[in-house]
Amino acid sequence: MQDKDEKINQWLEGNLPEEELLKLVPEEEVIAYKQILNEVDQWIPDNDFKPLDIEEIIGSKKTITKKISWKNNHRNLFAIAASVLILLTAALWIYNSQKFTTFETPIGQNKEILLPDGQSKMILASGSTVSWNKDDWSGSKRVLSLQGKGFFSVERGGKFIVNSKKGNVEVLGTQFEVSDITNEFRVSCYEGKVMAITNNDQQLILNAGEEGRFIKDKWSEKSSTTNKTAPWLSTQSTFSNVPLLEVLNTLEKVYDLNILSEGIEVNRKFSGVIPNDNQEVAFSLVFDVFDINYKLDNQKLYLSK
Amino acid sequence: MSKELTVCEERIFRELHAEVNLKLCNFLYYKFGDLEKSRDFAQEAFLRLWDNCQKVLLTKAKSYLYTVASRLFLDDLAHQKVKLKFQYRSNNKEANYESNPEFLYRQKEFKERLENALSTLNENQRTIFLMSRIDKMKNKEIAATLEISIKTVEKHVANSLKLLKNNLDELKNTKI
Repeated sequence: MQDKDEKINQWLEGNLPEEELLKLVPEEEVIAYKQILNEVDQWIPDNDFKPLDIEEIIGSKKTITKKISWKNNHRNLFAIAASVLILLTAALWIYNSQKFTTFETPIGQNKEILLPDGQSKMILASGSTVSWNKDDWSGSKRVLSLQGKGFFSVERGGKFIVNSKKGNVEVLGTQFEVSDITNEFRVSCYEGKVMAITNNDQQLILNAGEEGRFIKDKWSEKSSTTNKTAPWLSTQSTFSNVPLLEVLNTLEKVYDLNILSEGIEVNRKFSGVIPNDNQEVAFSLVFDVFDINYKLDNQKLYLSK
Repeated sequence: MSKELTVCEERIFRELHAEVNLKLCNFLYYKFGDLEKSRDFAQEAFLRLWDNCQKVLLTKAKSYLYTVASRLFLDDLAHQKVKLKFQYRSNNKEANYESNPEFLYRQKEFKERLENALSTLNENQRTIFLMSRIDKMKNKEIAATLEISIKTVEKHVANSLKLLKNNLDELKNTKI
């Protein structure tokens, strides 16, 4: 009996071949054992086991270890002070860098970003950067910095401020677009009300459906926009019997162009669908129809007969 | 002054934590059958080890964790009957091969009967048997962790297997 148990143990530990075991234990019994073992071997208490949080433990007691070494070794006082200082600096640096969040989009790709208030969203246009400091998102205000272009959908709450190179835009809750590319600073308001202040303190208040352009140190006349959202957000623009001028305005916004035309009849009507993500196709669709020559140079589009 | 290694060294503590945390949680589950509390008490045991790292030798650290966690559980629990349930490992290939409904049904039934049989084993038999099978711990390792002799471990593993078989046989006979 004792011997049998021992053999079973050796077999369990993988130190005894099954044939040897079968000399002592009836086959039926071995089969029953194997059935049990095969089943149990497939088990696990919890497939979604997440490791225990070790940082919580380690963080609970840093200071105590410090105290002990302090008492034991006065000579090392300076070294300890220095290392504590380095540790603190590193911690502060890590802490600070954790507070800053930055998103960048590559050329040709938009990115939807949920802002730290958990409700407001933005869509960062291609080739743009947005960043914020978590501390600037406490209750009463929400601040972020934008380089390039972005569309914002802001939920009501504290003051929402977009800082950009040429100026700031302030809102409460609304949908709007800020574009600070090349020499133009443009703000389009699609919902609610926004206030734009440029770096030289020129203010402009925009209501829904209005947009303002800041060119050469001053705001030009407000223009109206019929778009419900920034045109570059949709993949195509649809026109139905609209003046060429409007089509050109849309192209300017979608592809961030400055269109300079010479001798073009801009009141001719255009109908059609043009892509918002393929500049060449869009140009050829519009300009070939009207037999207009075009030349692109550094985001400036020259049109001629 | 010779400097003995202790778990106060953060690197050593982290290594120990990485090695043991899943096994400790599983151990507590085998013993007491409560997933959530197993996590809580395992965490608490690690916390106490870290607090008392000066007093615990590195070689004893593992058994310290297991002992402390068990005691915490015992203090908390007005000993209720344990009812264990297990999941299949998600990387388990065999289970996916077979989709025959009858086979699946019989497998499910067998699993339930085995779970019940396990729950009737005494605490030590069950715990040691499962540490050996599920966590693939060697008898020697189990003995060191629980501070018992290898002979005891071997006895528990073999006995558990025999008891499980008898228990299943009995069920089969009463059923027919």
